[in-house]
Amino acid sequence: MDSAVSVHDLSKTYIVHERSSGVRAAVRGIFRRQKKEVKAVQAINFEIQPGEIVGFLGPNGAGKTTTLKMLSGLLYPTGGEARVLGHLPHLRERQYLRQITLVTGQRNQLIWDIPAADSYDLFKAIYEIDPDLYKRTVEEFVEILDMKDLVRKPVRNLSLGERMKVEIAGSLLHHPRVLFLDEPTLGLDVPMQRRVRKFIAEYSQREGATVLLSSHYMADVEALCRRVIVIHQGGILFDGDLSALAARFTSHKKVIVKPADQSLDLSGYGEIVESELGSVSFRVPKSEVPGMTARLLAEVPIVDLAVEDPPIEDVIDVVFAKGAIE
Amino acid sequence: MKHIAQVLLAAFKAHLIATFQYRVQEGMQMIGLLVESLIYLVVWTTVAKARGGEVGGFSTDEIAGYFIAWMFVRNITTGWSPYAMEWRIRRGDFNSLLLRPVHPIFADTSEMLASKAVAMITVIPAMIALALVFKPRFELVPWSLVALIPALILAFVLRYVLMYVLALTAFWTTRLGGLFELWYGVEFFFSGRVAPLTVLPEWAQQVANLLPFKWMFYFPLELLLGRSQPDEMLFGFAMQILWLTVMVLLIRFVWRRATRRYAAVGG
Repeated sequence: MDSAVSVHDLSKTYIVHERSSGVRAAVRGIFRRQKKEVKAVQAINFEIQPGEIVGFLGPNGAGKTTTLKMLSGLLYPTGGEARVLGHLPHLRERQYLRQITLVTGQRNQLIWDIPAADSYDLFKAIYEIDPDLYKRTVEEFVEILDMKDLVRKPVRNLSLGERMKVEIAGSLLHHPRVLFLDEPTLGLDVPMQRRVRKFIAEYSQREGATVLLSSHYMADVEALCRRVIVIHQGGILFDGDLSALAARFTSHKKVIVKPADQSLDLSGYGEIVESELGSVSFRVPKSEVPGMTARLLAEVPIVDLAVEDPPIEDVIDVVFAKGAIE
Repeated sequence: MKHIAQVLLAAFKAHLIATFQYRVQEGMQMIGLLVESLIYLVVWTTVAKARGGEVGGFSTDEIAGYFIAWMFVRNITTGWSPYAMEWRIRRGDFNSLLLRPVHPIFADTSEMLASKAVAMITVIPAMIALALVFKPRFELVPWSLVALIPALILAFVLRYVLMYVLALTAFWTTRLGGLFELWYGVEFFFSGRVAPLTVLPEWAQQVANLLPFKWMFYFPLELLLGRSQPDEMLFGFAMQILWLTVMVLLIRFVWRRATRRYAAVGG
């Protein structure tokens, strides 16, 4: 099967003009401008199969948005090649643009002063959506996202979360096969994030759509993606299963113990990171987990014991910190 | 072609709805148009009176006719302000437009047409009111009025494309105020906006014939007033088509470079 997204040695270098502060530097800048190269993305490689939902992680400035913009066709790569559905995105061929969508947290594609439903009619003409399919799709999206009243109000009167819902629905009306989602839940409250997540998951499953999602909310990634690509300083740090991320980047596990006698001092068994509601959490090097738990069970009356990977946020912190050192 | 027609129509509908939301803004623009025309009208009527009732081949009441018809032609030939385009580019609104499978100029054109259609609701009564006050004289020449329709359409398209090209320079630099002011100054003078071109010295009239501005404004205005001769009309259409060809070639050239540059520096 051909990959939906195929990226080979993809690079993007920006040339930025810079000058020091002050009047003298400003005057000098008129005659001679200092140029500086910023390598936003450096020779990255990955493949995404049709129907896959992949999380795209990285700290601010890692190159996520630049990559998503190159894949959608807004930016020309300075090196390497990206192919999406067999097309070179930067050519922005009509046939290509019809099959993709780019959703960003601050996207304004709807006309501000009119209800979203009226903007949807415009999208119908732009994407040449079949009238019956269009009607069905709108009804369905309105139902799933619970936005019957929202699509009838001028967009400027909607709250941020409401606007994001109508924007996302608008971005999917033409049934794109590939979705580039850049922080789609930015600024939304938790129930709204959950709803948007569910909507994206259902859409992808039903349409067999391929999704590349960047988000700062690990909950988005955990809920939607089995596979993650971690990008840091323009390069790929990790590409694989989300579960393997923890295994690869953390050297510790979390051991949670509920002793029968809560007054016991357990500090001799390892580094305690948390102690509340009768439970004690230890941070234990992976290799020491079997020995430590065996010792605990033998020596202390235990009501409950669990061994967990650290929370994904902590894993990501470790990953980014490591990336910065390497 | 059918696709573009559908987009034009759908965008027109959407922007018509939007324009009605901007009642205050539309009203202010209308007042601006009225005040501008009124100032010229009063100034040039005074000049004509001082010079024995005539200036540049226009009698006092013909001057009134010129600046009343002026409102109509002016409303038809307004285009995208480069400042609006600059704002869109800076805010990043252009990103979603570039990812649509149809050139943004079409939806933009419909937006412009919708705003003109709504403006006409107030422009025409304002013209009638001015006519009642200033009692203008102009001749309605049937063939000239027929020629007015294509002349107005061409004038609109010509100025619209020209303004769009100018606006696209915002992709290179986002501080264009000075350039636009210079441009507007030249256009003011050579388009017939501040005064009928016949008021200008002979050399300036010759220059005006070569520049595009006359053909975007003065030419349809003269047709509306029935002041054109058939040979002048034919020359006018020839100049409009010539300039339009230049503009279309120019916009294709500039658009390709502008979007490439945009793609190179990032949105």
